[in-house]
Amino acid sequence: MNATPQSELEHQRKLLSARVGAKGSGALRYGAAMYCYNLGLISDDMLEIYRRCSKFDREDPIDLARFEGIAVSSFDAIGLSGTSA
Amino acid sequence: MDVKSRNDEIPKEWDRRGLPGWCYHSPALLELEKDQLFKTHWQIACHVSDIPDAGSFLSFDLFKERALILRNNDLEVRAYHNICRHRGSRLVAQEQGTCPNALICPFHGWVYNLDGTLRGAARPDSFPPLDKNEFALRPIEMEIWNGFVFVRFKPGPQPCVAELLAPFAEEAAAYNMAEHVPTDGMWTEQTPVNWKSVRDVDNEGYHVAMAHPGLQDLYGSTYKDTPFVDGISRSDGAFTPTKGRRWAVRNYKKLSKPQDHLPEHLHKTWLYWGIFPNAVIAATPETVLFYQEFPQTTGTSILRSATYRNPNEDRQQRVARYLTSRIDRETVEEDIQLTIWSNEAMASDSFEGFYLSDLEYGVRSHHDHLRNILPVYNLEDAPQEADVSALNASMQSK
Repeated sequence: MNATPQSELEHQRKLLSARVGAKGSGALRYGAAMYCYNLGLISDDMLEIYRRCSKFDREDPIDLARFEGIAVSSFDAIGLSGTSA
Repeated sequence: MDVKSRNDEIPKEWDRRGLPGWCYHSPALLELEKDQLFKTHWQIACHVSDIPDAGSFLSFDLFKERALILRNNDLEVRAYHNICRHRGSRLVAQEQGTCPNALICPFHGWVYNLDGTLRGAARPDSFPPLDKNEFALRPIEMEIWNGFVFVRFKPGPQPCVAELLAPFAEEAAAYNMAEHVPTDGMWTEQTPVNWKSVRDVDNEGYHVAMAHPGLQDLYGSTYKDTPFVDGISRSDGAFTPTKGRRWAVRNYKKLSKPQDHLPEHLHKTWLYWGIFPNAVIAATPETVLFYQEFPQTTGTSILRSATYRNPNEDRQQRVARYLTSRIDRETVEEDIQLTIWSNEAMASDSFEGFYLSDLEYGVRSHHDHLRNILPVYNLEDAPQEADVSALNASMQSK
């Protein structure tokens, strides 16, 4: 993958932690998760969690991951649910 | 060539007949029209102001094809097939909206960047590595003319839009149309006629005095049509000096005021630029709009239109704009009735066909353009349905 401008990564990181419940936030998070996945920052399992939540703005992907026993890294958790792994 | 140097004279002798009646109810001809007329000619999808922000999109379906007009992160407008490269699902299901970060296919969740390249497939572990360009959304030919976004699904006989509409370029530029903003969104309505009956009514002003009391009151005797020449036509009407007998017209004439950006001869004029085969861009001092029609079946069509306004309008202009829409709305309703009467004539064994006035030469000129594309229109008697396509191909090859 080509070098990624830090500003774009920061932008996508913000989108990854879009407020749960905000309109369109599920799709925003999944789109950002795919970006971060391409950089090796998100696991296959977490990407799949974001995909499942993409149509459900109120579904907190971190909550769902923990509920299903999927490892949540510190990268995943910061900014979402107010907790870290 | 500008609008004044076009040779749009009506010949002294001309064939005053219209298209044969069978052309209005032949399913086989309709399929040829879809494939060789609509898909191969420029279609207005929207105006740039319909997609104002990065990630704003508008979807535009034409028969079995579907376009996605999208503004990217550099705020450039692009057109793609609204088709996911995975299984062909439509990427966006809504007519208009915003995907601020990426496009996500609602079927399996493939993700595309706003420049159309693939960001990634869902469950990437189940695929070999996918090249973001090889699996990018497929672009559609697109051109923007004075803010209007045109798309073409298949290569066709028309030149680029700028060349096609060059005779109107100077006149159109005066309206600052690219700066206009939406008013009340996209309007669509199904109408129970063949699409050509819509065009047959719209391509002549002979009926205005009889059928459109509002337009007659507004511009009446000044209205004039010029026929289709090289794929475009033009009509205009300047406000008559009377005060106006009808409420909407009387108040519109009172409230419509000269727009600083327009030359004086357009201060009190409504203009219509016809674009073969099925669209018109119209301009008033207060608005610009487009309208178009698409066949659904031989006997039903979809009317589609949207109106845009000057971005900085004062209260008086806003009221004048409301009055234009009121006059227009009445005109559309009146026209729909005329199209129904015109269309039902084509199904009657007793109707022997049009006998057109010089004031309806625009209808003939449109039909002549149609005949140039699909020569099978020239057959006076209905061929067997199964033979229409082959006959047309054979006539095209001569």
